[in-house]
Amino acid sequence: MTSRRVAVAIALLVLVARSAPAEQDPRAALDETASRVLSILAREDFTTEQRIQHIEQIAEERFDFEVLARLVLARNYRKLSPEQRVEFVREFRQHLARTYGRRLERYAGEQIEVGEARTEANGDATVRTTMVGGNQDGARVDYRLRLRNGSWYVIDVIVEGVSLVQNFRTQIQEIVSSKGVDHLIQTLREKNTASAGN
Amino acid sequence: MTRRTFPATALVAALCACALAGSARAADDTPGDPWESFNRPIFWFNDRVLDRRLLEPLAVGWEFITPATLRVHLGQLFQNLHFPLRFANDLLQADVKQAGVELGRFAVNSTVGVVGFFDPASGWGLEKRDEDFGQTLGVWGVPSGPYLQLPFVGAGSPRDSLAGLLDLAFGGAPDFLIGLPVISTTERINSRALLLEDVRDAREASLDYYSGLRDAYVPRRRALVANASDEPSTPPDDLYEVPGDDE
Repeated sequence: MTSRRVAVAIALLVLVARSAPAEQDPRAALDETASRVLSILAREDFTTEQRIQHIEQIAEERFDFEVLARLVLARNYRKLSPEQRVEFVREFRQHLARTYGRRLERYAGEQIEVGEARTEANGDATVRTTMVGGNQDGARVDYRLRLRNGSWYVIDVIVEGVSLVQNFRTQIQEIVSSKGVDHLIQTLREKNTASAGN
Repeated sequence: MTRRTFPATALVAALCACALAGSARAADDTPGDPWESFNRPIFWFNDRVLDRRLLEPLAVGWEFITPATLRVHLGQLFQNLHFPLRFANDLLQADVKQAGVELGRFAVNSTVGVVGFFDPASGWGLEKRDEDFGQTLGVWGVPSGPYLQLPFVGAGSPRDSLAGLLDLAFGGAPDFLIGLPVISTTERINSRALLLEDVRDAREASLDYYSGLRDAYVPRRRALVANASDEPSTPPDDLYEVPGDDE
């Protein structure tokens, strides 16, 4: 009985040791990212531009923009040529970075309270978070994460019940069905150059 | 006063127009928005003409002449004046607990909070929760019906826009008491001023502003009816199926 317990304990230890360099669980992954972002935002010696740069880098490590881009394109994904797909991912990522960067400029001391994680039917995880303090006090932001190569990556952000993927998907659907794929990429490109000029 | 009588006529006219538009375009590309061909021009008018030419410039001017703290506290004051609306709907939804919270809030904020200019109640754990007659109907099981844009009124649905008339009667009650339509105008401009950055963000972030706003409004409304602040949001799982490279 005892030896069996020991064996189980060793087996568990080995498992833990092997998965340790990867990631513990989605909640811990998000928690770690959130505290890194908050510590950057708290750095008074950084300029806005520096902050955005650091946070973009953190986002790069935690978000799966490739999957995000495919999810927002949905069935329109197949209408894009391989070159267009690459361009779309690049432009869409930049668009998100720009628009979220603008929000960060108005950071007013909000903290992020990371709540529980829920496992979804397809193996994804949804982690609940709540904003505390500042201008967004009490706002609910949920993150959907997917496991890839041992790491959890964010594939959707759901703000107060509104999913980013869902929201962009229908916008993109409207543009593609009324004006076509070229116009979609054109719109993104124009948005990005316009906001880069600011 | 004109503000109060206007929506009724507009609503009836718009509903008729909608019914026509809806039947004319029975099969639409966007399943959640059968009245899109009616909604889009109305939205264009609300956004491009009313908001960008009138309300937004007024709000920018208001932002220029008032300190930020004043705008925030004025916002809280107006929220306090709308106490009857939230209270009545909590009761109609048989949510006695939240009705009690609202009553407590009103008592505290109207006194200690100087007529509601401050919101000490939130700090004491008495949190405001937005309620209106549209939400109450939703709780009672009345479906919202399709997404609907009405001139001057904005986003809604047959259920929520009609119920909005009752909201006006309730939410506007303090206007009658004080007898100043100036108050509702100030509120409108002040609340728009508080949203200046958010609206700019939304315009910038969206690729198609109309559908971006619609698909934020509809699920948000659903979440408000459900009052499900504790439950994680659950978009359908098939939203997350990644399309493959091949084919």
